[in-house]
Amino acid sequence: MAPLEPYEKVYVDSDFLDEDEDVHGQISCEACHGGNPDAETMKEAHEGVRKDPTYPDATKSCGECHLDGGHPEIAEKNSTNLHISLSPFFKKIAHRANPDGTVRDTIEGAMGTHCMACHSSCGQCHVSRPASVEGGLIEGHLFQKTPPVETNCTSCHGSRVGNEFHGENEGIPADVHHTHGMACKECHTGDEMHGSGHDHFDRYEVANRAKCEDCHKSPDSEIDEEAAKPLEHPSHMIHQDKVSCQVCHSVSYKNCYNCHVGEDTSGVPYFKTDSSKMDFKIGLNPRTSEERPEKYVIVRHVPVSGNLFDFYVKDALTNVDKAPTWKFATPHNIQLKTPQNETCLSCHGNNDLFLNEKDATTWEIKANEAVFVPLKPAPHVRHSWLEQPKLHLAKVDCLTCHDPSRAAPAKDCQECHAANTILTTEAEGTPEYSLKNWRFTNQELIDKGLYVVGSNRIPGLDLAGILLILLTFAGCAVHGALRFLGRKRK
Amino acid sequence: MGANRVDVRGILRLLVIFVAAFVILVWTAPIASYAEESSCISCHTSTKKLLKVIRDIEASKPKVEASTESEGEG
Repeated sequence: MAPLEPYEKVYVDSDFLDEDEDVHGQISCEACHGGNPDAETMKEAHEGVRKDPTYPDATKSCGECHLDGGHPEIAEKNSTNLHISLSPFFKKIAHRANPDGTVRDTIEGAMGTHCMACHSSCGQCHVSRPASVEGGLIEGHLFQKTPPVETNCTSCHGSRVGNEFHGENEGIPADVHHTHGMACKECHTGDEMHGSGHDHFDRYEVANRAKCEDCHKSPDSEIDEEAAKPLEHPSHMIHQDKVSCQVCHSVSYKNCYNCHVGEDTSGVPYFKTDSSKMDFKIGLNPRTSEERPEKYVIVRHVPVSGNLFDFYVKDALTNVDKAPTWKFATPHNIQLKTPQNETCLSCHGNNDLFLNEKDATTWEIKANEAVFVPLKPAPHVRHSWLEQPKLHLAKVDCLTCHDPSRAAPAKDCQECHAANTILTTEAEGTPEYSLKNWRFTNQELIDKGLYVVGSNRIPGLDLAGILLILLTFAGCAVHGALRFLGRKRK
Repeated sequence: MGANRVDVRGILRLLVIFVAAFVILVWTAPIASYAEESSCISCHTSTKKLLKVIRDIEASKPKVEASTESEGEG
């Protein structure tokens, strides 16, 4: 996003002064921004001016009106709003930091210079672009109830979320919600953006955050079908509470590695990160909870390293390996069909999809122990109790045995190799053995390309065989009877 | 009696009109005068004035740009 021209950044649209357009235009400039409108010179007029009167404390600007009436809770939440406090950044770095107090103070100072450059505020969402992208009024100071996506959402959340959502990573399609015309606000409501009113260690702890289940109802939940479409695919019943939605429905996303911060010779802060990589990794959920019970989740590599703050202080992150570097993630590139949900075996037994030691550098191995997925034997090895396991895996639909409505998978051979085989579904009907059926006994199995012993019987041939035997007996009887009668006459 | 009642109504009506006019004046006067007189508004709503002033400011202040040492994606 190109920065605004300097004059554009401070240009106020005269519509802002129209009460019908924006009630905020009825408040004097100095009431919010300070300064002296009666001064003789521009310099004097701007003395004491606050560019963003809503940061860090919005209670004296927004709060004076928004504490009562329409939005009493918003200004109250300002101090705990993670967009403003970036509290999880500080807490997570503190978790990895050297316990020495002086070192911690230095880290906090460095984070103030680097990390805190990315905070937001009431004003930097609703009135101007965020300061981290050089600021500038949006829409000539007209307050925006919903911040514009490009200038105020993806201007900060761009290199990962924005690019994923808009399909700007080469070869990766846009998120299906984007292609269906949905913008950030459809899921991330104002209520969520203003926070829960509580401080948190992790942004995923915010209770009123967006959840897939807000729209997509799981099979066993009470459903208002007008508000949400039930998830009818049996995979949801099988994987519910075991696998996060993104495991099946997201595709490759950006992972960042290493980060070093410092100040150049002019004292201007800089950062350096290694090249990002597009990858897709399923890891173990290191902190399962009642709300997030899934065992398997998507993990994204974060750009932390032990020498992140070396410019400011050595040995700053002596406990860098105390937390994973592959973190729980919710990539914003959701697709209905993905390479890993094409078939069961696209994921099950595909060890490349699962995070393990080969995805970590030496020092990261300890850090990520809780998220590594133990490698599992190939599916045909796990099904070695079957005769010809590879043939079974190739010919039999997994769901036939792993039917979600069953308490346990089918393991009795006779459940398939029998007249009333479970290989036919209720919809297809149970096999017909009527003599009126002149086709193969289990034509539907043959149509599916499956073979089960006995399924290629044709009732007509059975009848013909029986008739042949009966006729043979009848022929013998007639022959015997005729010979008996012939002897008697002689 | 009748004449007295008419006088009271007249006084009440005048009082209501006076109070209403006072409230309207108090409510709108600062805004109207602010919008008309504020030097902030006269400058910040004029592209022409802003362009001139900001050109001078930009020319006089040291150019601060992002460090050229930054590498990678933020």
